[in-house]
Amino acid sequence: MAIIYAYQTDQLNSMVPEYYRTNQVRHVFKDCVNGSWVYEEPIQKISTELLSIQKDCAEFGWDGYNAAPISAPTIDYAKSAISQLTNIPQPELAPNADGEISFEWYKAPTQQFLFSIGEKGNISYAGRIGNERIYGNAQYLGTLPGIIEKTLSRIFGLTTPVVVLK
Amino acid sequence: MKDFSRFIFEGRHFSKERNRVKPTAFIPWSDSEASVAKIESLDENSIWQLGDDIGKLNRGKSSIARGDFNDSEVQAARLALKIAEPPPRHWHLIGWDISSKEKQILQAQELAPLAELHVR
Repeated sequence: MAIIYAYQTDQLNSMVPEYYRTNQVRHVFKDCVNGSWVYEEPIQKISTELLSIQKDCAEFGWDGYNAAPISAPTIDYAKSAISQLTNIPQPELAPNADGEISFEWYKAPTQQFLFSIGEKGNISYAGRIGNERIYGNAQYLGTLPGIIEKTLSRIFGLTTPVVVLK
Repeated sequence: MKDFSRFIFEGRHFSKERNRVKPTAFIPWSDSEASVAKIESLDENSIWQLGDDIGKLNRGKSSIARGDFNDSEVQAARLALKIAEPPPRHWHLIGWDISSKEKQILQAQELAPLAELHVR
């Protein structure tokens, strides 16, 4: 039996498309940017991207300026941290000039959020919801600050997941 | 036509599909200043050449995209511009809050959506 997690952003009674119910999909969410249904294996895709970043950004100055290399501990922390957020839209990953990795969710100039994590597990986060600015820092100790998921839920309007048993 | 540009050498610092420059393209490292170029009155070829010249100063890379912006947009992000020649037309984007990275992210989140993406 497969469990489909479907997040409904605007229509509480909308149905999960037949395709996803018949293909043993583990995670489904509604793409809040273009309104389409998206199927992803989020963590697997992100892990692949993180390894690619590590390879591309292994040397000093990878950004054409003076960026610090992305280290293996940073990748490990990034992978662990993002695995805490399985029920959110896919983030856009980017290496930072200071050697950290950032996860970004961007919907509009006044609806955006980003957090970065470094090789010692230090987290910096900031975002905008309307005129409100949200920012802070924390130490990653196996769980992410609750404000990260809470802010993303506010931006994307995620509600309690609908669990469809097949 | 905008007056300044931040040259981009990393593909994950912009999104062609969503036509936007990402905040990470602007956030500097510890020196608290980001290199930019004044592109006022230059044609497209000359602008890209300028980017390549900047890349050669570091790792010999060619720029793959750029984010163009104006001084007024920089001010909106509580940042400032300061001339840093040589090389010619080289400026620094300064005013980054050095007390915390999260505040730098906020500043970059203000500026990035205002920047105009150009992909080579």
